[in-house]
Amino acid sequence: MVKISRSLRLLSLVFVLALALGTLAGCSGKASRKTILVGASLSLSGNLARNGLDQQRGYELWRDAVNAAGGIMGKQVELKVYDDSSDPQTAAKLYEKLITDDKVDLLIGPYGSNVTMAASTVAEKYKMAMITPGASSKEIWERGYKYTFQMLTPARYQLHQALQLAKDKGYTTVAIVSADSAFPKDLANGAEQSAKDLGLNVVFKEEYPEKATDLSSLVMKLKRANPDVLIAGSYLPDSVLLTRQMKEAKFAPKMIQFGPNGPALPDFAKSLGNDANNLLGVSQWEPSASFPGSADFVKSFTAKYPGEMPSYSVAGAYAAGQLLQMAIEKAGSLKQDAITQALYSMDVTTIFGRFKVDETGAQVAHAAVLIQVQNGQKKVVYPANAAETAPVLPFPGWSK
Amino acid sequence: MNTPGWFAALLQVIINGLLVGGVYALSAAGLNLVFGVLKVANIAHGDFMMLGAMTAYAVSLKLGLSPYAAMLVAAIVLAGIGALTQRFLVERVIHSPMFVSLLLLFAVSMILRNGALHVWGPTYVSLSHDSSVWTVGPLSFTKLRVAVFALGLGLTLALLWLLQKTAFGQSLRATAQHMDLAEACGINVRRVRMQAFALGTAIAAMSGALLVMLFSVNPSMGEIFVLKCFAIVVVGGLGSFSGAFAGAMIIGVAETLTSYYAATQLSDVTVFLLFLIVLVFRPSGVLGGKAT
Repeated sequence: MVKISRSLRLLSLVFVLALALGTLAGCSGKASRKTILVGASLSLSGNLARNGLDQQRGYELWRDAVNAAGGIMGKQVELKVYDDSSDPQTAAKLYEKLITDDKVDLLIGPYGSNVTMAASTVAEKYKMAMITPGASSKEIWERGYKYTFQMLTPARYQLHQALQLAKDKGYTTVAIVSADSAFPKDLANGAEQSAKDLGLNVVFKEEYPEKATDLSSLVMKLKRANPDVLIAGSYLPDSVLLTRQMKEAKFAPKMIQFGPNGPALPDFAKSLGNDANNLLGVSQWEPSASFPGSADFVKSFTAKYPGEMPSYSVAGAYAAGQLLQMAIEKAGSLKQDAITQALYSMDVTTIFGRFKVDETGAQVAHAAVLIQVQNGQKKVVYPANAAETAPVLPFPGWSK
Repeated sequence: MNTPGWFAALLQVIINGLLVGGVYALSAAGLNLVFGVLKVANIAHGDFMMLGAMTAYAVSLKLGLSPYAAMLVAAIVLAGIGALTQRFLVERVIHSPMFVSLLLLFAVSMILRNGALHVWGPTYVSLSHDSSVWTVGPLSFTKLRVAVFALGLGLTLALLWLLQKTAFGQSLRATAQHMDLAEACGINVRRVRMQAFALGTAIAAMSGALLVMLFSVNPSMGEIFVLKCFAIVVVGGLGSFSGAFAGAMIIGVAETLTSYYAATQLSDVTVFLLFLIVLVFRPSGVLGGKAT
């Protein structure tokens, strides 16, 4: 009798231990759930709120679309979103909470390079794949992390198409200016490399303080250098200032090209009016894109938000969901290692464009497009297969 | 064509610097007034400029006013906000050590900046810009910048006149020189302090409203200008209006010269190097000692 009861006790101990381990690993909770829980922290307030809110709209549109089509592997998708108020440390804490408290099955990225930098350390710690629709800084992918996947064209490649266009047009000399912080410098150094690779001659390159209040001397130096093409790696306020001071100094090269924080943003043309015309910018995505499903996506967005057009943040977030679904279906499971493996091997096209990453998780295939403000309207002008209309080049001069 | 190219460039760089100085002069005048009379370093000055800029922008869009009319509306609104801030907050710590008022105004700055961020969001705004230029030989002058320069100069002269020739100015000067003595002489120093602060924020609002025409501004713009304003006021001589104007010109020209002949990136380094040199070797500022 004693023997039996002892072995029974041992058996029950093993049983309890197994149960405890199972709960600790969070397996039993997930397995019994009837839905797939996807967690994210987003900048729903604070200085990145515009893009954060857009990303939320994208995630929600994707959830609705995928659930209407029967879910993933027969399970409905549920979203759990927290507000990190644009703060990297808060985002990191919230991702930790999503994983340990909410026991989400899958993660999806926040907005902004700084926030993504912090959040990705948590994803890495718990070995959970995180597709990031809102991060382009190269530093995030230089830390040897294995679980962070980039969707945006990295800063250093964003101006490559612009220099290709300059070359197509037979321009030979290039001047490059940029603000002296990480992202604009990445843009500028990438542009310099692209110019060299394409055999163009970089005749002038200089940085200015990010918060410059006057660029008149820089413009005078540009005028003296007399390049065919001006490339400006800038944020919005310095893009506007540079444009105004170029006009004041009557500096009009054949092609004026900004990065993503210039003519591509609605506030640029709002600030400059006619002076924004014929200036070029870079965009990760435009509503006129002709990727499979893009048009339907734009339609579903405008049905839900009448009078608005989706920004690249909405489209990127929607596509992040698509990628997650593709990876799960390719892996045939919700296991993080299988999903991660799938993401590394995928070369696919979403509504946002192509997705393919290198061995660090950095994006290598997504192609940003060139846009130009034409008569106050933003138009995709390059490359030819995505263009709505031809670029107006050479620059016809400043408006009167 | 008989002017050599290098000389024309030098002249143009100096002209550009003076015109940038005009923007700074206007921004620094309000800060200087408040420091002169209340002896507080108004760290929220840049945020009052921002509030003036955003008010002018909103008023101009909503009511269809010209930017200059919107500037006057912004000045009146901000004078009211300034008067309230002084009466209910700054006045309470006016006899405390300087760091108390500094902390208090830092809190005001944070509240204004983040409040504005909440109301307007992080978007950038700008009013229509007139880029037309006057050309004299090889030189060019942007009309709008010349107008801003003239306003900066005009305001400095008006302030000097106000201080020297009016009874209000006399009470301001008396309060600036010795608060208790002024009070003993029958001056209502509390009211004078409130008026000075209100005038200071009104001037901040006017400079902010002009900046909306020159730059693209957003709720965080204050931080860009407030430090430069302090540098200008120190270089010119704390409390001296002609000094602040001279300081603004010196800083403006130093910036454009550095940008043109050295590197644009170094322009801020030059500004704060000048600031340090003046602080160490001539703490009363280039026109100090003439304090009004």
